[in-house]
Amino acid sequence: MNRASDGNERRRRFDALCTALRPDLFRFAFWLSRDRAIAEDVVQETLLRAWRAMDELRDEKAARQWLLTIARREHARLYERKRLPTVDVDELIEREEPLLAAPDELELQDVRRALFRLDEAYREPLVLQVLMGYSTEEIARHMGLKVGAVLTRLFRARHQLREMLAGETRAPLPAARLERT
Amino acid sequence: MNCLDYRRNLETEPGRVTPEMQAHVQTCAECSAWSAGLRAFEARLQRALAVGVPAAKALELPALSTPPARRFALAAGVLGAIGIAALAWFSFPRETLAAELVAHVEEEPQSWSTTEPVPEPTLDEVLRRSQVSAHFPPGSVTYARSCRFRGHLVPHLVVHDEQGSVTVLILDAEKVSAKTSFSEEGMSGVILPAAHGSIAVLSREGAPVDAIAERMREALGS
Repeated sequence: MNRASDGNERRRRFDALCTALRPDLFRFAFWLSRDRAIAEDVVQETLLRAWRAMDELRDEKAARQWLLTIARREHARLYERKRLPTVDVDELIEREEPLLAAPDELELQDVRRALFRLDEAYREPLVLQVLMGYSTEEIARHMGLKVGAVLTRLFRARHQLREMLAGETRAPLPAARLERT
Repeated sequence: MNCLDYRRNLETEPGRVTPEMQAHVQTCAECSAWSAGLRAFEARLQRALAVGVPAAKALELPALSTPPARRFALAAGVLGAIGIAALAWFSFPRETLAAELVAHVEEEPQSWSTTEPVPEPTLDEVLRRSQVSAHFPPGSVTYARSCRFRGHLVPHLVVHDEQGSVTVLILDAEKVSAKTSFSEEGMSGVILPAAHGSIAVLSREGAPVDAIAERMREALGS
């Protein structure tokens, strides 16, 4: 195979990956940054890095985890490099209102606002589990944490979310069963 | 299993219901009702996380190889820049090498997540391709690839040492005169002179790279 067709094949593989995985990549970056513009920058930087390192991806089934790991580092790098100022969460919510309250998804607005208020340490594992379908072990590897720490964060994430969602109704625990056996 | 354990487990991993949890919920009406509420909450959470994705921006991908027609034009520019580049190179050679090593390692994040030892024939093949001989403790290498680095094929390994996991790149073509330590992008590392070229050892977990690097150099017979 000559160099041009090698290049074409590489480009074809890359385009196929981008088409399939860009939505996941954007959503992951968006929930890390809570900022659409930053998420789009992270996606672009991630794809550029992935393009340069494409030869190292031997198993395309692992492509999503590979891209999300690169995105995580790109997000951290962007904050290091640009020294982005800390923004008040209410300001972030206001700025991203069009995305948080799309006309056909108004009933999700309160959950999204609560997610915005959730600490990043809890939000990231929750996104990986719920949206990306990661197992607890995969989240632990991705975040460099122990499995126990991930379980704790996942529990606290849901607990805090439900606390924030005032309208959420919960069946109370039967008092007699609250004690551990 | 009691109600508290059942709910805590389900609230942590809603997709994982063990036989014990199954047995509990079949006999507990309160937890059964609670589970239905949690499932509804999870469905709502999943939809909330799946925000709309904007149209893709144009992505200009850099060319990875230089087309022959452009080589002559580039050559003149390159020659003109050599004086400046050489000055910069000799002033900061180690910083540049360290930055490139960190960038390279970051582009293979999957290297850290593998835990199974690399089969010996695979490791031998990676080392053979770069004409390197090394003796690592059996089962200690969990990642081994031949990578293109600065135009040379180099072994890229992840080695589990008793003091931590490290990435090792064996750089036969990169000569350094003395040991250089660096810390970049959350990684610490060291570049050591070796019998042929140098060896780079990097850690992202704060492992004592100096001590491990010495052992890696011994494994290379340097």
